[in-house]
Amino acid sequence: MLNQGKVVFNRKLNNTIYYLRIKVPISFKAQPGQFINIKVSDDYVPLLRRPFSIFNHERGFIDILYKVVGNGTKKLSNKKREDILDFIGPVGNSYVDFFYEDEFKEKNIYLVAGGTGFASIHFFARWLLRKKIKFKLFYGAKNKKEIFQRFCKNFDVLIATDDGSCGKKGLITSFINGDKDTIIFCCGPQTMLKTIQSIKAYKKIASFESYMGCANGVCLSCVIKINKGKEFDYARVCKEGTVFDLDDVIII
Amino acid sequence: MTNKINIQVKIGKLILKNPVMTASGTFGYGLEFEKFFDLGKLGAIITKGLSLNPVKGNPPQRIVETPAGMLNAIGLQNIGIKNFISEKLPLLKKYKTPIIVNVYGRKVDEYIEVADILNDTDVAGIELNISCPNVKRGGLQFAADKKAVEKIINRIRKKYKKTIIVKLSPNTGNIEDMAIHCERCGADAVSLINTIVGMAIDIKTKKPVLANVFGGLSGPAIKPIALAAVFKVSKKVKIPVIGVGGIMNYKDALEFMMAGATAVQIGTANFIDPLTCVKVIKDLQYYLKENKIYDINKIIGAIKLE
Ligand SMILES: Cc1cc2nc3c(=O)[nH]c(=O)nc-3n(C[C@H](O)[C@H](O)[C@H](O)COP(=O)(O)OP(=O)(O)OC[C@H]3O[C@@H](n4cnc5c(N)ncnc54)[C@H](O)[C@@H]3O)c2cc1C
Ligand SMILES: Cc1cc2nc3c(=O)[nH]c(=O)nc-3n(C[C@H](O)[C@H](O)[C@H](O)COP(=O)(O)O)c2cc1C
Ligand code: FES
Repeated sequence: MLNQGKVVFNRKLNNTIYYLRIKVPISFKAQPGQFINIKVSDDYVPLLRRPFSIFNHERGFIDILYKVVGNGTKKLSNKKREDILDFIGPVGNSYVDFFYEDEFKEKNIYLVAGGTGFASIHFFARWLLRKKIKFKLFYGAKNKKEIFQRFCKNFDVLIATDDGSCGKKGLITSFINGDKDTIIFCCGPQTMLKTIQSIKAYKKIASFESYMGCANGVCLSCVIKINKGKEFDYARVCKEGTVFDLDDVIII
Repeated sequence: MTNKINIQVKIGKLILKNPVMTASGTFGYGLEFEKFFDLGKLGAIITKGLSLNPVKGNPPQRIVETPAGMLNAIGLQNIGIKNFISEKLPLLKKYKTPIIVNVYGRKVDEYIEVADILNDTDVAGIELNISCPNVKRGGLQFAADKKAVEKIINRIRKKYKKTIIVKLSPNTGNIEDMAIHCERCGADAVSLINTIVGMAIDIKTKKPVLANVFGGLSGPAIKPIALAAVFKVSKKVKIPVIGVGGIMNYKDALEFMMAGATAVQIGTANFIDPLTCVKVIKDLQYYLKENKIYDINKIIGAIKLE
């Protein structure tokens, strides 16, 4: 759980998005949908670790695809080759926990990624590819700069951007036609997940983000609302999630 | 050199094998840390605040980071004392670490009922949280209400045979007065400080960042305030003072002990490095050895004033 790894590279892909590879012991194992909680600085600002989905993982390394949005991600972007990164993980459950191969045999598998939600979906897409399971990827972002086609080479992919600068113009969710044989796995902004809730499908599985304190199930800061008949319960994104049955979640 | 170094301290009737405890709300019910280290190494485990019945807590967003600290407004989400006793306590028993239950009630009677229930268990002590800034009723209201505090402590003291710690905050009133009051009412120790009321605003939306508007500030940002509280209070009371607030390493722990704390609690640091508590215990021993101090109790209140 407590891990250290050397930075192999920390490449700038565009103005704000970076591609980080960390060397890890070969004993390190992770599943798509899981994340790691990185210590981005050694002083007290920022204080807390920062969570990032695993974008890719193969024997001996993990990749992260992240967007610089504030101080923590800025500090992460300054890490250089050979720097030691301290991280906790893998944390959380996986899309795989919700993947029933036999049950899903005759179904259409759709993966939906919005913005940096592409990270965890990408890892899952590679998992499916390796298992030779067919799927279609719907990939949306603000504009061309935030779409990373180079990582989609082997996928059957439909791209949409808000401004039409890459792929179709509009919200990615408007290009999804679901039916009773559709299974959706998705990750992205909550507004996207909320829209997906109203798409018809056999099953919808989503990975959630939230504000995290510990990523260890103890601080209870990362909760989302789970439907329980007339009532609701709070579930911890870092512990019970990040992956949930989308129909169970109350998105406000 | 085989000089044995004593790191045992005493809080009320409770002997702790070392002065390092986990601060309530930052260590869950302990079990989440089993994967990181042997819980038997801790001086004591203080649980998340428990109430008579389960509490759902506040809506998210519940935390936000601030310079060298964080605000939280969890709203005391917990599984309730009965579930704790049936589900968690049996799993904690195998560790030779005293379990202290942090108790929170909305009414005076609730504190007493919870204490009654705990009387029949292996729990080593209770820490009464009368100073939580994140709940509308109870919490802060009690921290300022000497009569209510007297009622709570008196009535628990009558039946409850084990250690009673009262947790205080600098949010309301005079913390020294309240500590003296708690001592008079029969508390075995006071722990200070709980988080300090704060808030943050999102300038884009003009909305408070936390759904609860206010949250409790913790982490290194509050250490100087906590330290001053410990220093002032420990001069005024005879019962042990437990120092809490922004302790990140053994040096911080030493400062609190020199200021007069008999023991310390580590909170927010557990989120950043889950091994903080065990590291502090180890480093304290190393410090004592290096400085040829053979009893940690010699550090307590060792501050030198001209
Ligand atoms: C399970 C999980 C997986 C994640 N995976 C990725 C990933 O693969 N790639 C990636 O780029 N980012 C990911 N994130 C988000 C990432 O953790 C945050 O962007 C990062 O913590 C921001 O840190 P900062 O210090 O740079 O920004 P801060 O200064 O903390 O915040 C800057 C801005 O970003 C917003 N923000 C911060 N944290 C979050 C959050 N958790 N959710 C929504 N908004 C936030 C703040 O409200 C603020 O407006 C993930 C988050 C979680 C919880
Ligand atoms: C997320 C969180 C939850 C907390 N919950 C409780 C609680 O349930 N009861 C309590 O008495 N104190 C609670 N506290 C306060 C801590 O126990 C401690 O007093 C405070 O955080 C200061 O110490 P620190 O700076 O080391 O974190 C909580 C603190 C945090 C950060
Ligand atoms: S981040 Fe602390 S419980 Fe999930």
